[in-house]
Amino acid sequence: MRLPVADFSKMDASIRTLASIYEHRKVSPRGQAELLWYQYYTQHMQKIREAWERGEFILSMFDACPAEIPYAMDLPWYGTVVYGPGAVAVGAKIEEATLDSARQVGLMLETCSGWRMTVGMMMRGWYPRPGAVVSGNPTCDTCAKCWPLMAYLANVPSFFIDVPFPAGNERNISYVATELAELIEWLENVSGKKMDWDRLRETVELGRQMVELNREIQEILKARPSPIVPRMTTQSYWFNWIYSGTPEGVHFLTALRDEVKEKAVRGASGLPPVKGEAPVKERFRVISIPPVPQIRGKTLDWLWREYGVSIVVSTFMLWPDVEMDPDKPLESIARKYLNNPLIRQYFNPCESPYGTVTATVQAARDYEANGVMIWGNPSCDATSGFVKIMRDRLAETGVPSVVFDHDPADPTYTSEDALKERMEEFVDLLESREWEG
Amino acid sequence: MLVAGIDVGSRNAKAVVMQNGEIVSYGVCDTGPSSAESAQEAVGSALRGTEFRLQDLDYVIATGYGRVLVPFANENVSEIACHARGAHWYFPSTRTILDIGGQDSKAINCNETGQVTRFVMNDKCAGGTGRFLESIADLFQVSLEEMGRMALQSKTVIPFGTSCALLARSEAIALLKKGVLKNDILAAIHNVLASRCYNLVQRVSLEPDFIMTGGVCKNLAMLVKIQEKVGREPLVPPEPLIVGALGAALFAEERFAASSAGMRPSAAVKG
Amino acid sequence: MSSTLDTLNEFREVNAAFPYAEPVREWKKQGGKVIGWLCSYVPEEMLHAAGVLPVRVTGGYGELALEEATAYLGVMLCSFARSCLQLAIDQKYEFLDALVGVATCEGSRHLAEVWEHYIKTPLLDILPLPHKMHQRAEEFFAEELRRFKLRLEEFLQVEITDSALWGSVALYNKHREISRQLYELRKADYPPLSGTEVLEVMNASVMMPKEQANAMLERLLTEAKASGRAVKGSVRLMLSGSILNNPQFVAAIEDLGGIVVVDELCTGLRYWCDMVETDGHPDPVVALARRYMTKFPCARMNPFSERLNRLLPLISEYRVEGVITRAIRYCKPYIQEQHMLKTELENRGVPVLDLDVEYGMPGTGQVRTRVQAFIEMLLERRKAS
Repeated sequence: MRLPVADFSKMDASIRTLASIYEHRKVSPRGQAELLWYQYYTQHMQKIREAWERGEFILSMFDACPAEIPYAMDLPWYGTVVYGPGAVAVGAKIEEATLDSARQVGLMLETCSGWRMTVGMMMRGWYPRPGAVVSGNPTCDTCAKCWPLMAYLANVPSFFIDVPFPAGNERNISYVATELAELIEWLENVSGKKMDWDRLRETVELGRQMVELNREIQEILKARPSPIVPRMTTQSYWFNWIYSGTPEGVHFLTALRDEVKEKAVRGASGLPPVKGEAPVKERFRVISIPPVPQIRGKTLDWLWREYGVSIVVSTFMLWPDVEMDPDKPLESIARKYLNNPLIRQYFNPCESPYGTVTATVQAARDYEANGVMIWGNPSCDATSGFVKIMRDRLAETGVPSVVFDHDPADPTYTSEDALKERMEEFVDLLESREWEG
Repeated sequence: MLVAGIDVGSRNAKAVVMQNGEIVSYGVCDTGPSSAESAQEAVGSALRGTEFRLQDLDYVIATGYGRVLVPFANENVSEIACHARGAHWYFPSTRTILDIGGQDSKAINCNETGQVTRFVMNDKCAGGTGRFLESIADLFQVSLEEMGRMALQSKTVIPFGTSCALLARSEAIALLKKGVLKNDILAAIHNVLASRCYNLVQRVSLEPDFIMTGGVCKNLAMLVKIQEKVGREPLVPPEPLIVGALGAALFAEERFAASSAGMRPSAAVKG
Repeated sequence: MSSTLDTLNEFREVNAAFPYAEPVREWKKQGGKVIGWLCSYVPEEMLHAAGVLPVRVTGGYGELALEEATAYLGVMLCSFARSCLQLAIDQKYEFLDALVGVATCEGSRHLAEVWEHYIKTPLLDILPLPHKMHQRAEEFFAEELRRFKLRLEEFLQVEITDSALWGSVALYNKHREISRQLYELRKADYPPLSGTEVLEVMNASVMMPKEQANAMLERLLTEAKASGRAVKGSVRLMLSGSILNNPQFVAAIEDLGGIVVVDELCTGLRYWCDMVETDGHPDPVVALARRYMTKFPCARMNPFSERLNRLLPLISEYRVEGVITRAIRYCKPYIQEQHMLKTELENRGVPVLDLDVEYGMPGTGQVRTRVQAFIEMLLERRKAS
């Protein structure tokens, strides 16, 4: 199978769309954080576009890997998720063609659509052909297999960051730190670039600041009404990955913290009122797990405006305290990687102290949530493996939950109407409990 | 030498009678609950109006789903080999065949002698088969041919799920309720099916000439959509439904000739 | 096919009472403890050295209705995991005193977690398992095995001595050696055993004490050699892919004229094919860790070349004419490596038939059609060359 080298039509379209949203928001701002998000998201793509034009070595990396390393090596890299399926959310219309391509190599409904789209993107040439591919196995079997498959299809070398389950195993820190050391050596060989160790130490310090900011934000989010826009619970999540340990990351999170803090102090809702209308009310506080799919941002705005259902937090925003020491950069980066809420919750036994069930039950209490919304991507083994236990545990503590039969990246899987219907049923349930008191 | 090939499919049973390399006649009937009876009926309808009777047949090969359940067949051969052989008889230049069957669809590569070199069949779900199209025709209360004509009149491309055939059907229902034009929904449905079929073709290798077989060929919209996707006009045999049975008859001729020459029949798989 | 072998029938009797097989029953009657293991990455030797009977947990030899299990694990989680859980829900595994899982894949890991939550058989561990086959992974796994050993000792209130471990290693190595000899017979033009029969034997040998299994296997070997049995097949096939237990699936292939002469399955060759090195290892745990981290890998390991490089030599050793790769719904690692495997094999002139099936499925009509066409194609190919 010969793949096309690069076709930038999709990327250019995404960049144009993002840039025009950015311009539009600049005129009628909905908040500094969102503005920065568009600016930096565009920048992530533009940088790759430019590096390609200059003929530089480009790294294709699963977004949920330590980005500190390519940054400190000054290696142009792109996150295969934010720039692939993530682009669906900005209307890049890649879904049909990429899912179709993935089917050619035998990937069908069992493989989550987001990952099928990344494979399809590579097959279509919609990613610039990388010099190398980097991935790791957290948090799912599909992560562990699809990136090596992409490297195989693109006929480029790949590196696999091995993380034995469970992430919370203390011995993993040194095992993974050594993996990262090997990754650096490998990258130096394949790319010809050198690691700048001073810069790596800087990324650790910036990463530490980002964890701190995240922890401040999650505290502020306990306010009533919720001071955050539903979609930002997802946007900030992916941002944490692709700008991990960077000044941009700190910049964005600082803006987000200031914004939610200001709103919380004022008692204002995260979702701004429609011009000329009364402020939106919060009747029910709901936790989203995993984060709200990016393609459903508008639907959740509707849910809040129409029924007063706010998304208070996504459990993937809940950072633990992470010990970060710039003098031990690899160990610190490994620790932060393994404590990223996604990996911490999904890659530990679900009922262990770090696990997703424990975290969600705890969050429901901390955030005084009225319910939990589970985006039940059917092909996601990670989710389907714990849904039953989670719902049972939540029910024991009196918290109702709903599972949406939904695909996080393919908007055609569940129609907007069907999803809204299901949401309305959930509102009915929340209301009936309110009556029962 | 008088032989017959019988293809007992999930929807129809087909029979082709051949004499010395030429088609004498053929017959088609609906598949009933009993494969044996359906085979009997198909071959009966093929023989009707000819001078021959069942017992005149020197050799019979069965293929299709019910291939092991035809009591008067000497052997059975898979429908994959039979479709390749049948298509090759119509068009010796055949190298790629797409057969959209009732229960199974398949893409086949064959060589210059009509032998299979590669094949794939439809994947995990039922999408991409004739049955899927039938269930939609049922939903719209139209015939397969009519459905194709309607789809071709569509002027608007509507967003439509492509992930799963079952979901596609429920989505069609939802769109109907919403008042979306039937023609547009049908065009989208044909598009889904054509994508699935194109996937099959991609998984073998698309070498000219490209042949399409199966009853779905009567649906003009499918031919148009497939051509759009594949980028090549498919050749369609004059009677696309009987290609499998024809291939079986050709195998019967070969096997009979070999056995009467005292040779061990080749490629024989006793079912 | 010639006469049935007596020992083969004995193996079949063991299978007949699955999963609470007669030897397991007997063991329990003597007051012994039974521990179930979920994946071939569990070092059974350690359980054996602790004095318990290790039994492999599978979903059995037929297709189950999985409604209840699906409610717990989700419809797209692998049908093997769901089949195991279904049997547990149906109380078929009540005789287990404990369960050991491995974080091989999500199916295996989530099965263990759900089992622990709802079934209440004590879950001793979900063993961590690195994905790479390098020295550090061996060291990591050895540490985990040390931890697991302590846990086992605590649970059973026994001490697992080094000499007991070496003894168990010798016993299991012997099993591997006899299994190898059994497979060796399959290299003949007309092997004395069909692929179906070999799977039956392999199934039974993980449901009884290894001492007993070894004795039976040795008898089977002698008997098979002496019998003059010759199983004929039109084409020599390899069966590769996800876990397989249902002999009816292999029988369907062999009924159509093929003969399965070798496999790449964790219930077949991959179970026995690597010895624990006993020379030069002062520590049996290190030796065990090395064996399990370097053995013929499952598709969940990385990179894919490790698996491919072990699989390729089998093609020539067993004179394989075609490979049937079978991925179960929805076993992600095998499905996602399928394209690479097929490409690599076809590039080397080895035809591949890929099948996707439910775990417990026998040979259905669709499977038979594909297999028949594949065999016909292989025969035509042979005629042409």
